[in-house]
Amino acid sequence: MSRRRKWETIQQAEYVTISELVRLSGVRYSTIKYYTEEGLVPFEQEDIRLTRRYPRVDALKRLEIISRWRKDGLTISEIKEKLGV
Amino acid sequence: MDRVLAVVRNKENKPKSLKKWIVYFYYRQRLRRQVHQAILQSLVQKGAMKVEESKDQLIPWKKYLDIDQAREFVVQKIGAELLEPGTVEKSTATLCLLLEKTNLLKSYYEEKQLKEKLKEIKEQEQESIIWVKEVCKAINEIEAAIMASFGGAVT
Repeated sequence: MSRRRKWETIQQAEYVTISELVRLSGVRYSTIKYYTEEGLVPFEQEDIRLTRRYPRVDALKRLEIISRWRKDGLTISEIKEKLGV
Repeated sequence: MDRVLAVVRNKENKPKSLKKWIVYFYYRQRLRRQVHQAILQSLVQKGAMKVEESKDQLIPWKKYLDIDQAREFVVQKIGAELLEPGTVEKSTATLCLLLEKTNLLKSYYEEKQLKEKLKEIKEQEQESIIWVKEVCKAINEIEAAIMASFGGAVT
């Protein structure tokens, strides 16, 4: 996944990189990294280079839920609790 | 933190204002060192810092170094909470108000965006405004006490 993929390809891909997820969701790179570390966004790690790959549909859904709940007034800790993370 | 509070409780029973505590610690170097060590050790235990010791017996030294990953995590946490729409946790807001006072936020974030969010936090409504005011007051007291102690030491 080192070469930059076409927008159309990303939109159909099963797995995306963090940069691609940034483009798809409009959420900051550092925010996604933080959510990942906190266990809020699902990902898989590739064996050789340990690159994180995000399941596009699930990760986007999760980011949308987090954004919605944060707008509703929940803190990140409360969201973690609610999601059972 | 429990160890720090235990040190404080053992040494002084009378309640003091934050400003007086700062001055109290300023003139008690040994006690200040104990508190400092307790904080450093708790950070090491939590994996936010590491200790490096010399093997040279002639010039022994011990260094506490921050772990990049831990610092990066805090930077990301502040960004995720302050730069995205939503509620900010009290602990994060308090940390940001402290970092703002010491000009440390500038190195990591775009100033304009953060200033707007911090202004928003300070103007929050109802009960949240009470703790924000208390935190701001405490930070100002710390700054004033440090300046006063420093001024006293210089003159």
